[in-house]
Amino acid sequence: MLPITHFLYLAFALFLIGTAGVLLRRNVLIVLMSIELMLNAANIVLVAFSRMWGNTDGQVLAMLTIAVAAAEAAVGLAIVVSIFRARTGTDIDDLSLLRD
Amino acid sequence: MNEANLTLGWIPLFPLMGAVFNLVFGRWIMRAFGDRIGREVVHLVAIGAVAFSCFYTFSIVFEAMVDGGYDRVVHHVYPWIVSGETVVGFDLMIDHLTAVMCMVVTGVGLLIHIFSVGYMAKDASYWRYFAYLNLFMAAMLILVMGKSMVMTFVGWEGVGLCSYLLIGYYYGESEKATAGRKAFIVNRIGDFGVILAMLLIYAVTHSLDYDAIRAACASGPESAMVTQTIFGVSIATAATMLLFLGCTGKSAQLPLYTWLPDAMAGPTPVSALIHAATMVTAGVYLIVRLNPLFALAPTTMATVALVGAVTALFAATIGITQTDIKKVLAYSTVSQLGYMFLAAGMGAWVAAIFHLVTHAFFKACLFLGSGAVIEACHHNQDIRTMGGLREKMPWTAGTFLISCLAIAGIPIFAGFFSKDEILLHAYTNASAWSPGLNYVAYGLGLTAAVCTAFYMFRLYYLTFEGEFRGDHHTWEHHVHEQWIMSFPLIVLAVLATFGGFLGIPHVLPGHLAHVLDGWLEPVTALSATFGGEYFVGVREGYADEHGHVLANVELGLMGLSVGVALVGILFARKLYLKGPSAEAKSWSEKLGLLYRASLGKYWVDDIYDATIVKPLRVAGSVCYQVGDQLLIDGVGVGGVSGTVGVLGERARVWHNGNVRRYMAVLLVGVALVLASVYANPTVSQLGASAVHPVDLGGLRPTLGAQPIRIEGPTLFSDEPWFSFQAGPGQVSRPVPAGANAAAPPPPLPQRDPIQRADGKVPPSRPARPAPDGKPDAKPDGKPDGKPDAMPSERPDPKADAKAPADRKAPGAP
Repeated sequence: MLPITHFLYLAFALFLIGTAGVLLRRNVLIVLMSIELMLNAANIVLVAFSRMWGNTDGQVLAMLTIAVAAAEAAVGLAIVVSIFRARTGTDIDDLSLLRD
Repeated sequence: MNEANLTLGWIPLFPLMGAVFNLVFGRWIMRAFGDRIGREVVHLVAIGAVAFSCFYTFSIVFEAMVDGGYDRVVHHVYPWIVSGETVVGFDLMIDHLTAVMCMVVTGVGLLIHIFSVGYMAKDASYWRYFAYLNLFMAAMLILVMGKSMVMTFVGWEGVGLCSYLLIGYYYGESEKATAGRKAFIVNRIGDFGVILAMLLIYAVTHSLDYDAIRAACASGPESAMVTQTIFGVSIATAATMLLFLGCTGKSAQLPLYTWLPDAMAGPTPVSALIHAATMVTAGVYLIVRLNPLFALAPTTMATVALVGAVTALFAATIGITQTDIKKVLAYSTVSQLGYMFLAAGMGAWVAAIFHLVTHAFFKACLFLGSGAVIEACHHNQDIRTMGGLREKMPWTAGTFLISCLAIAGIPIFAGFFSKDEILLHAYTNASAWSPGLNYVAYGLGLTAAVCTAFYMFRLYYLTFEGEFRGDHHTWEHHVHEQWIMSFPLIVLAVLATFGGFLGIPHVLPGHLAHVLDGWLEPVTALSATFGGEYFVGVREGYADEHGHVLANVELGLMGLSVGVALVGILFARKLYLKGPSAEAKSWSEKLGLLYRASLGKYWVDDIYDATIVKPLRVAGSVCYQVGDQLLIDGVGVGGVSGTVGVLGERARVWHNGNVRRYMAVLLVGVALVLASVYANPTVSQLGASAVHPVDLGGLRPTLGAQPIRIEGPTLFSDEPWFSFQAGPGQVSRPVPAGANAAAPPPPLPQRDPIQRADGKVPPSRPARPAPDGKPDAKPDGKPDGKPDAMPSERPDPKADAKAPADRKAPGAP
């Protein structure tokens, strides 16, 4: 049986990749995908601990997260599409209209 | 003591309910029912409430106390303030003294309520007037019925408030509103003294109940009130001096009397009720109520007597020259209150209360009579433009004359008996602490009696005799009487005539009983037992074997006071019978400076204005400019908003709309929070607290020092970064990280889970031990502290709530 540390390393690596994507990439689509990665890192931790404790709570929470992530992707992509139509670009640094 | 329990709460509650009713519904009723019926409803509610109180009081006094033979009636309404051993009950009581006060307050109050119907008939905010008047009745009844000083103080402040509200009743005129404020502020000075006195008394008796104060004075010179001192003077003297300060404020004595003449700004029935008959006598009531305490403070007694006598003469001389009908009566009230304090200061408690009662009758009658005159003269109050009113207002003139005779002290009228008794006791009572006081007090009192007779008859002749000096129109169309105003006058005149028979001097033929003396005997009995310098009563050489004053002395003094009164009256008749005569003018020129001083009220108000009011205004203005405008508004409020504004401007730069920047800041923040959680040192309790030796089941006692252990974080290492113990009996000694755990002396528990001799798993951290046999404590012996050891670090809530008894390191003895 794999020790829990392996799962945690994997989750940590995924989370770091996702964070780096959010921080460094400027395309809104890529940023959204990176957020998905971070969510899934959290899912892995949830499931791993769930298995370790023999308790299904974590798995339930992971399913919930997946559902939320799907909804978020749908809404997010819709927003991206409408932004693209209105502004002819998806560079996240240009989207600062609400600043003032 | 023979005591009954009856529901006395109704007596003040009914006027209070009347006040609430009129305050809440009065305006609406006046609008909804029309002016005429609305006024009927308003004053019927107000008068009904007071009539009920009056009826209830008389029933209790005559059925329970006179017929039933009870010494007093008590009602414990509810325990009001309960704090530790201090219990202040909302307790009401009617004893012999309160019975007298209550009957005067409700009786005279009822008559004045009835009079007000006529006097205020055209007033726009009729409901407000009657609501305030009812509120005053409730407060005054609480004042006299309170069973403790706290209750009395509640009433004391309540009547002060109502006085303020009613003086400033016509608040639209700024000088009347100012008069109300003046009364309130001057009274504050006195109330301050009352509060301090209450604290002093409480420090000795641990209670403010009158029974407790009485008990504390029971052993006379040996009682705690005398033996305990503050700043070198006995508590009795200090407390009574402070109480007397309160009395000078409330009862308008020197030096705080200045508010009372200004209080005439209120409606005239208010002057009659509050500023003549009832409220201003509260100070006299308080002194007589606490007479054992005052008797134990001869210094205060002498002060009270002297201040009273000086005030009596001082105010009487001002009254001589005033031209406003109400101002004359106001100074007369100050003067008569001076007489009451003179009596109280000489230890003639009964005489003080006696004069209080008769004064309530004739002064209420005089004020109401002046009210009727003012109403008849188009609200003109200047006696120089009156005269001859007797022709059109015979009832008013007759009752006014009776009251004038009463206040001047002409035999068979009430004032004769009471004033004579005061002057008699001023002359014959003992004042061991201050020899010679008798003659000074008597001399001042007698001179004041001449002035009283003079100014009262000057007032009477100028108002009712001679020819009318006002305008023709007023005389023809306006001067008249109304029965609703004459009726209370007649009742009060009857009382002013026969009220004196409550206290017939012993010396007069027939030897009729001095009713009031016998009635108040239980109240004054205690102070009569004191001896030596605390003796109150007729001094040696003037008393016969029964304790009465010698007959020849009494008759002589009586003749003298009647004589001077007649001189005053005849002199006034000579000068003023046919209006202000040339002779009066020549007298005023002859007296020169004295006349101008009296006319200018001795410039006391101007002196106060220059020495106290103006400096205070300057100080207030400085406080306003520096404290309020600069410090609070400028530095405080302005500073806070300015700082937030500047900081906001700075922080605004960070909100540049760049989502990736936001994300980076968020991550740094999360990292900081996690780091602070891990780096936070752990504090745990070692053993039981020095103060609380009992194990509180994991609760950390907050009182007292206790041995504790402080450990640093364990991140990236097996051992805490640092660790030491502190507290009583423990030397603070840092333990180097990584010290060998197996060595016997170290008191630290092991970070690594190892087996102990008893098979228990020692806690990974001292404060958070794993309970016995819990499987998640994973004693798998991994020494590297890798993340897979995390389950054992997970705090167990059950273990948290339970403080481990054994926090010693394994191996320690």
